Amino acid sequence: MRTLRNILLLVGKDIRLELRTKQGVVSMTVFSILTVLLLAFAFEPGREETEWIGPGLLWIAFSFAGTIGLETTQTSEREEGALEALRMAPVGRGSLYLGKLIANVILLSVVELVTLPLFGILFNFEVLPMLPELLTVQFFGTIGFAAVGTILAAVTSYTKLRGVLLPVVLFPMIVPVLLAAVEATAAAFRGDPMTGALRLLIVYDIVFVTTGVLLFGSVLEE
Amino acid sequence: MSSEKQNTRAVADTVWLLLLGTAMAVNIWLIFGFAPLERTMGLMQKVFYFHVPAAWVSFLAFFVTFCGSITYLITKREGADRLAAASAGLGTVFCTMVLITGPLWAKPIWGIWWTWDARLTSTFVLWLLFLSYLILRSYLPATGTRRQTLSAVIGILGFLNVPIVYMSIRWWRTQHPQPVIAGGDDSGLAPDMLVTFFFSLFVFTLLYWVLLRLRLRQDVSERKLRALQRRETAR
Repeated sequence: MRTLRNILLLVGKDIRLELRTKQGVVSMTVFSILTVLLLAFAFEPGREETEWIGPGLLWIAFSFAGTIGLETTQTSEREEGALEALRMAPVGRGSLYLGKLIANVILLSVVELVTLPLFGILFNFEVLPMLPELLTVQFFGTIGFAAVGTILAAVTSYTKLRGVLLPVVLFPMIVPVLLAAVEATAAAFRGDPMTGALRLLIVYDIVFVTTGVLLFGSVLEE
Repeated sequence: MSSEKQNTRAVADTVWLLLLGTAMAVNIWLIFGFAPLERTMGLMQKVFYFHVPAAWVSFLAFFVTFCGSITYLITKREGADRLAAASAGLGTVFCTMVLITGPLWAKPIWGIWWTWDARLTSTFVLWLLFLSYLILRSYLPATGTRRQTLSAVIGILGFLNVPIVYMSIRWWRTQHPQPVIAGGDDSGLAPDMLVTFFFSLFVFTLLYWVLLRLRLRQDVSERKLRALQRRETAR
């Protein structure tokens, strides 16, 4: 019970910080839209191509924007010795991780929810009929992305290059998330069931959230 | 270190190198002189004796990195970290070999260099994972225990990814042949080929072992040299 309250407090802290500065959400959303725009220019998809390349396009935009998001929530910890304060807090390391993870998932979901309708409008693609399916994929995909991303952002923040290395380490690790999420989204676009890909996403989420809880302590001790 | 200990080390090194050299020579003879020519693929099939053992060693190497990383996080022993890092470096080299011999083999047999098949892709991702491990490690500060701990975290996360990437095989079409050993019913190797293959597997594992020993020794020498340099500048 106390653990749960601690986690919620930590999530609240990150969300409040974000609501006050809005630096993360704004840059992420703009970047996400820009990615969609650039990919649209690069491929000039018509009605049929959209159904085909749309899922990949969306998830590339989400991953790029997500990388920025992970970077912002991590950078805020480095200011004014916030990280030291967190370390001293009478909270389990696992809770610190879960708090950060949930905050990242919320932040990413907001950006995704803005990008999705925009994608629908720009490409004349009806996203509303398949909204429940799309939201399910997004939910599990985002958890997987953030589960690995939260811990890697903490790791790369110790390097001299800071955020530069995050995508280098993160992208090979999220290959399964990207594959499964794109596959599931494509299935949703076609109106097919998406069980296989979704199951893979859930397995990934379970494995990496557990690993994250176990390993975050070691990252913070440093 | 006493000079006597150094001497035994040197003798051991020579023995290992001699063993490896002989085994490699025998392996080459087995591959090109003993094993029969494959009926449809001909001489190209010889790549098999390099490709598959290299793949096996790269998996073994990354598994060692994984175990070393876990051991480091639990025991905080520096040796475990050095083992993990050395093995990751070697694994990347062997994985590079897999990725080079694969297309060389695929081009004449499948008619293409590369296909986005699950097994090829997952090997490629594996290679990228450990390359990023090495890159990240080189950018982490060497002072204190930070580099050791954080590399260990990446080593564990990276290795856990491998089976999940591999699972994608289930819903991705695959062009890579089923494993010929203990694969399907109609797969299998001629006995002479099997002998050659297993010997090649042994030689590659031996090569990995000898290189790993050398790499770890090099690490020790490097640290000693650094310590001496520090003492020199302090004076």
